[in-house]
Amino acid sequence: MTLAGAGRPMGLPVVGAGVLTVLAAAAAAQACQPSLAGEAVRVLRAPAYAVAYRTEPRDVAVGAPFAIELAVCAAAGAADVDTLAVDAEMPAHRHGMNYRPSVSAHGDGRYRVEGLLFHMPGHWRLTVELRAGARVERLADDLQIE
Amino acid sequence: MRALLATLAAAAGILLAAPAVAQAPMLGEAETRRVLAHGPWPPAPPHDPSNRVSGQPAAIALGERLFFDRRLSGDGAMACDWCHDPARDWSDGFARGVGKATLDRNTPALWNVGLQRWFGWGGGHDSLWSQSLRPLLEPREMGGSAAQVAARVRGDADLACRYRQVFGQAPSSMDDTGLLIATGKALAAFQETLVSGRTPFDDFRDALARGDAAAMARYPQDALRGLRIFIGKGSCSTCHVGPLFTNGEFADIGVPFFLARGGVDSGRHEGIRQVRGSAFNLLGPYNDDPGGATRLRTRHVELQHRNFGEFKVPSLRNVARTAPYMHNGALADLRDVVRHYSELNEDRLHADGERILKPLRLDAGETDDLIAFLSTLSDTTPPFRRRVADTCP
Ligand code: HEC
Ligand code: HEC
Repeated sequence: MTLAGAGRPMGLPVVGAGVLTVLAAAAAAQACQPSLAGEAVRVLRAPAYAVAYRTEPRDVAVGAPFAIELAVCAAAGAADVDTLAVDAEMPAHRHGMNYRPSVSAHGDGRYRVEGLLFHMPGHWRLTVELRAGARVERLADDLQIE
Repeated sequence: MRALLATLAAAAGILLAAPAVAQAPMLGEAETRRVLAHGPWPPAPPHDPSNRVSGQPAAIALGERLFFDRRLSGDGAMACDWCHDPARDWSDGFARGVGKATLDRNTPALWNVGLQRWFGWGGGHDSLWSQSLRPLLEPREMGGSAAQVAARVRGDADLACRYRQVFGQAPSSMDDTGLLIATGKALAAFQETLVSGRTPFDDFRDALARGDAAAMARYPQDALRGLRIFIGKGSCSTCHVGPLFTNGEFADIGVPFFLARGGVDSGRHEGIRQVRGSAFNLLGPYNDDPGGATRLRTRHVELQHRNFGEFKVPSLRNVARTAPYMHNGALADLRDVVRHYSELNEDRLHADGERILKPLRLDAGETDDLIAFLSTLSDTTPPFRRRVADTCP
């Protein structure tokens, strides 16, 4: 059971994806690099923020809980992130998970998210919502779970 | 993972390259992957970190004694095997369990129960040991109490001896609640040993993994066609996933949930509330796991409107022998089950997006094939024999 990107190229923000966003994302890529080392790290970018994450365990199995280690960075000039929330849904079936993940902040833009569980195989969309002051930024990743 | 993929590719390659083998199954790459995901079997023996005596031989022996001990019930007439009869695959053959009164739900077979994470049709318990306490106390089942269970255990030399061996403490020095929990944990240790054996499907699955076309050809053709419906257009493996044929979670497949005695069985909705309200849940003081892993599900489970009318996705191992089916035992045999999925009433199912369950409209041949497949999930484990006698020194 592998975690693999589906459809969308990795790192492309799903919300408001368009030419401008893509260009901005490319700029942001140079502007900020989230500090998460190791294998199987996936990177999501919005104009002002970038998120790198990896799952624990690396291969996510249907019906088994997993956690996410996450690092966030803000591009030069962007406000620091106040809160972060993670959720997931199956867009085709329009249902989410049976569990509400919990987030703990570990400083320096590092977070750990626990209590995720994909209860069906198929296409899941993981969303990371960042709040910085009044600004809300949503990043998403598409995952194919077998 | 890469190694597995290589094996898959090899297996698929052999299938494609060997059409000469008599009726070799032509499973595509995705189909092959799905079939392989239903194994291997048997899995590693169940171990429950929330139960410190899980897996210990002395606890298993004590649990076996308790499972068949009628004195644990209020009136001394009923033990677990009243409903979970080893000669009936640890179930009872009734639509709904029959204790002091007829219960609301079907008695589940206990095969592989140690591999589950939620217990009861609504998942009202988060551990096997806490689930095992419910019938002891429930008035319509064994109708006992913690005090009564404790008194029986303290007063029986063999049981008292075994508790001392397993828990390092004489029952006379344990309080009633402590003894009740200990009883649940010993019962759980015994039930963890009820792992079903290998099946014709497992032989086929392993032959597919090794690319052994001759061994694959021994799998009945009708079962193979049924398997392809199961992993293909039936979408059965969306919920009945993995080696256990369940994702361990809950779904609404349109089985009516009105109770015979009036009212409704809200299934998972009530189950979540029950778990949260239980003093014996895994977030409480009786969880022996110092780590957080066993608490994850209970801590994070979310009560949602859609949980109303959801029931646990049952494992399908040995399913052909455990009729009747569904949480209320409403379907008498596998033909009724397949007909249910074939003629689903879509209005009954609340789905916002693309439906996972659609009426399959299977023809007679496809129906037979699917039943043939489900029948290959049965093992040939010899009948259970009680191993433990009244012998504690
Ligand atoms: C009167 C019949 C009856 C008796 C006696 C009984 N059970 Fe059950 N058992 C049931 C029914 C019915 C259910 C389903 C309950 C539910 O869904 O809420 C069940 C569920 C279970 C489950 C959960 C299985 C699963 O797949 O989720 C376990 C474990 C279990 N019983 C163990 C025991 C033990 C141990 C005893 C003795 C202490 C016992 N039972 C006594 C009828 C009975
Ligand atoms: C959406 C998830 C889902 C899908 C898809 C699904 N099932 Fe089920 N299955 C369940 C649930 C949930 C139950 C129990 C429902 C209840 O008791 O109300 C169940 C019950 C069963 C049972 C009865 C088992 C028992 O011990 O009572 C069988 C057999 C079965 N399913 C086979 C199938 C087959 C064959 C398919 C494909 C045609 C299928 N299922 C598709 C969720 C699903």
